[in-house]
Amino acid sequence: MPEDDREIRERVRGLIAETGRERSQLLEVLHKVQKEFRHVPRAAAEAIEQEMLVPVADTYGVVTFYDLLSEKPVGRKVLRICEDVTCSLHGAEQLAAEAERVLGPEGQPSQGGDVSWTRCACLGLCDRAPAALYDEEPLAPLAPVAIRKVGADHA
Amino acid sequence: MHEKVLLRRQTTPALDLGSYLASGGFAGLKKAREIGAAETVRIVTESGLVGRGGAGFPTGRKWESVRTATDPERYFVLNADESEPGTFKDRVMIDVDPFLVLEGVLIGSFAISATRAFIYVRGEYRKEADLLQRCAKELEAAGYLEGLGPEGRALAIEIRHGGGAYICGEETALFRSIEGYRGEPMSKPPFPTVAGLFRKPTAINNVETVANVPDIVTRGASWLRSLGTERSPGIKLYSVSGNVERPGVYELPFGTPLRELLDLAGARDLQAILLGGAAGTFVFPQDFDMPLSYEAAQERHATLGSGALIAFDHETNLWRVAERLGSFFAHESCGQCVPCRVGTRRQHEMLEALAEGHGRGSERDLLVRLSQVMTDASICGLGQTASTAVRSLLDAEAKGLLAV
Repeated sequence: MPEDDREIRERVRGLIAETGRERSQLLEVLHKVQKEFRHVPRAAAEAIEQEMLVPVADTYGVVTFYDLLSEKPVGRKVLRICEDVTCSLHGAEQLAAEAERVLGPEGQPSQGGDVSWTRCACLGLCDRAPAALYDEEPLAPLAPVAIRKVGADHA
Repeated sequence: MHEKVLLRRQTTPALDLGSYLASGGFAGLKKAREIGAAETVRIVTESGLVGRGGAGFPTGRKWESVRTATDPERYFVLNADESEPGTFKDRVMIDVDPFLVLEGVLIGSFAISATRAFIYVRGEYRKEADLLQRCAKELEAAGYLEGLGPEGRALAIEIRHGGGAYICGEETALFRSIEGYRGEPMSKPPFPTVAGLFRKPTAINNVETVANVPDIVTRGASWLRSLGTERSPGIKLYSVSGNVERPGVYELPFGTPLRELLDLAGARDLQAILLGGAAGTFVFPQDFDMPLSYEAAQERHATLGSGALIAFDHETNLWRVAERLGSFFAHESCGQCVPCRVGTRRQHEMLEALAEGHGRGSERDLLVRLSQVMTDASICGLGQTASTAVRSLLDAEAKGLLAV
């Protein structure tokens, strides 16, 4: 998986070409970069600077603002556990504790870089609390025992 | 029993254009094209429809202001960035009737002669964004976007994906996000209808708001006014969750007693509810007979907000709930202005102490003073309302209403 910087820049140029060069496409481009590289690597920000004329510092200002984008690599799949009011009433803390036990410390990709987990703000799945999002797929309601399955899928 | 309007396709969702048409779809757009933009806006204004995202601004007035703007470049934006804790009605609305939402967008775009329409969907609603994208493509292929733009041009619709930030539901922050920047709100005025997205006149509406529009245009302004109360015409979606047997989205005419909604959702013997989301207020059983209308809520210093209702039983420590709200605001503050950036953090620390039961005794007074500062001095609604629920909890505690 370790791509060298030249490959990353090449790939990001391709993503920009298919998305658009205007500043207003920055978030869309960053979503694609995040999906492919599981973070926004420095080389990607450099390609964005060359192609879209957005300074690297500016790009990272945007990346750090949004929860779904990250500077450091996250797991190939990310489990987001809602910790807001309704999910807390229905045991979000137990889910987080189980995730920590099974998948390791919050925010750190598990062995092999496959799965990482994080607490997150309300996912809009309160009718099925406690809720989580596994990449793009809602897991709701999520039982603590099911987290072992999430871990096992990628062990 | 109220006959469902917004959720009428809930049992059999119309997920392709054919079934939407077969079940009466696009009568509103057809009529709008016949009567023209000015008349369409007049009907919406007369219906008394106000924004369902929480702020409650009159939709028709917004549209008229953009329609009559001098700048020929103007945009229609659908705010599908639903992120208010406890709120999921827009997700359900899109899931069960994506074409109804899009018909509302098309009518709104036509009414203001939009050059482009943007649909901003929160990043966590990927499935809903994909669904809207697919349906919009279907509409384009079937020629539904033809002639909706200025001088009979076709309308262009773009779907944009949010990055996971509550603040981007605030309209000016949402514009910044579409433009490719951090979602930091801007001071108003200028208002979006004058200088919105890309500094052009912009009409921005919530998902539920636009879903009302096709029926208003088809059935007339008096139809909406025949539902609800005089000052809150129409119907509202409520997202109900927490300690209830049947959590979900409920559609009711304004003026329905809160108790009726609680019964529908199977709530029993509650300590309190949080009404209106994180920026809402706690409401206690003594007020459960209140009618659900903008005016009745206001009289009780409450708010319907987005229509979120979270129910709490007698086992719930409401200071623990307040702590969760405090954590939410501290995390979601954009950090741009000091009263909010620092205030939400200090507020969270104090709420943590109260929830854990090891406060120093000074927290309650400090929370009130901090609330005043945040309300007075924050740039946007986030900081201005971050302490609303806390204030209502302090009031309730003083009255001895808390169970734990």
